[in-house]
Amino acid sequence: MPHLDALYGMAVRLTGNERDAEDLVQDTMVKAFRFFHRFQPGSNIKAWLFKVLVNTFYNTVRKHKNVQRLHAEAGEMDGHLDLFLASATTAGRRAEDELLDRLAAEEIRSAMEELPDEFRLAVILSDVHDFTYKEISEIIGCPVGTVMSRLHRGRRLLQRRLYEYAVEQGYIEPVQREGSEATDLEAYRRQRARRRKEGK
Amino acid sequence: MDCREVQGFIHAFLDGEFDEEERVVFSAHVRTCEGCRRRVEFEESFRHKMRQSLVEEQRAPAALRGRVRQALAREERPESWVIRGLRWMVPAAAAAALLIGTVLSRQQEPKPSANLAESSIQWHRRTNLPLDVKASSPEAVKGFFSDKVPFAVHLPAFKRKRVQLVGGRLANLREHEAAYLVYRVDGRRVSVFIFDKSALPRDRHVHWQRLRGYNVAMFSSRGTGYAVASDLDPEQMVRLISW
Repeated sequence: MPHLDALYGMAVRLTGNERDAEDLVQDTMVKAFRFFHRFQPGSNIKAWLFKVLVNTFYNTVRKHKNVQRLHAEAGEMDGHLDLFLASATTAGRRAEDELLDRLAAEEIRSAMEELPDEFRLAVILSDVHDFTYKEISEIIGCPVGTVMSRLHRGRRLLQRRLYEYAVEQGYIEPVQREGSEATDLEAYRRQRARRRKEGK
Repeated sequence: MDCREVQGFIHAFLDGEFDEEERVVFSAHVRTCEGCRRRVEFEESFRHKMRQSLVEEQRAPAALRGRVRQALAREERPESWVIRGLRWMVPAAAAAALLIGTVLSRQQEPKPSANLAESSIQWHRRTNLPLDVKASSPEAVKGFFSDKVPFAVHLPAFKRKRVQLVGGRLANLREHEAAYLVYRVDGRRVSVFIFDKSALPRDRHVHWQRLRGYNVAMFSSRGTGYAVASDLDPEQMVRLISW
């Protein structure tokens, strides 16, 4: 069963625990078997199996889970992370290398678990399983544009969580936003002036 | 491309979604822009790190394999079929084989089955071919072949009345002798070739070939090799050979 490992890996990431993951994989295989006539020979069977897995997950596992996650934060860009990535670090090491080297696999996994389902799904399908955007759009049933924005925001959120975590743990020194107040104030004034103009 | 565009498309670039031209334009900017280059490198190392962290534990437990196998075996019992469709002797294991160890991509097809497919289609396309035996009863056709080929001719056991046997003749798929059976399904021809299973790779896979508008499915079952060729659409074909 060449795709079983991949399906199981995905199921663990989706359900967050091994027992539910095993049930999910078993249900997926049985469903795939029953609905095999819907499979188009010649198309990618791995993508098709993942689609069955994702549908099964949404139909069963998710029903029992009434966790409502906040999505709004994913939209915000994070100035601190950007500044950090742009900053050079002392001792000749680059800030981003410092960040990545300090993080352990376990920390990345738990940051991944905290991502809202939609983002996590897209990121794992792309980064771990190498599906194309088109395949991902078929697996999760949404347009390619949505896939792209979920990937973008999902990765962004993940990086921010990890950055914050690394700062919390004292792995890295946070970058101070120098003069950011002044910039913000100016921007604020410009905006006010524009609004006032438009108001007239 | 400016910095904003480059940063917006970093993922599309790294995910291999860019075409040649887009890649050239993207790379040209990144080569000359230190900030964007660092950003691209960071995203690259980030996803490398993430992949490492997530892939390492990706092994299904042995017990799960057993569970899935058992669950599929339960499904194979005819009573549990949701859709019966056209059910024939090929056990539903054909579908299971496709799921469990599939060989669907054409690149992976070994040469022997490609030759068999090509040859099957050549025979299938010759619509006015004289038949050695014309009969709608499987027994009569089977009887005809009994002393003519060096292997047992197990005819497909279609359950549906829609699948009608027209007759058969001797044929050869390249160097392999074959019993060639012609069926009609809703007025369309389906060619079934029965031959020694040694002509096929030794596995449980259903090997597919799509050539010149025809589909050919090849597989072995109970010591016999089969090739089924038709212009039915892929979905109908799967039902024909799996159910």
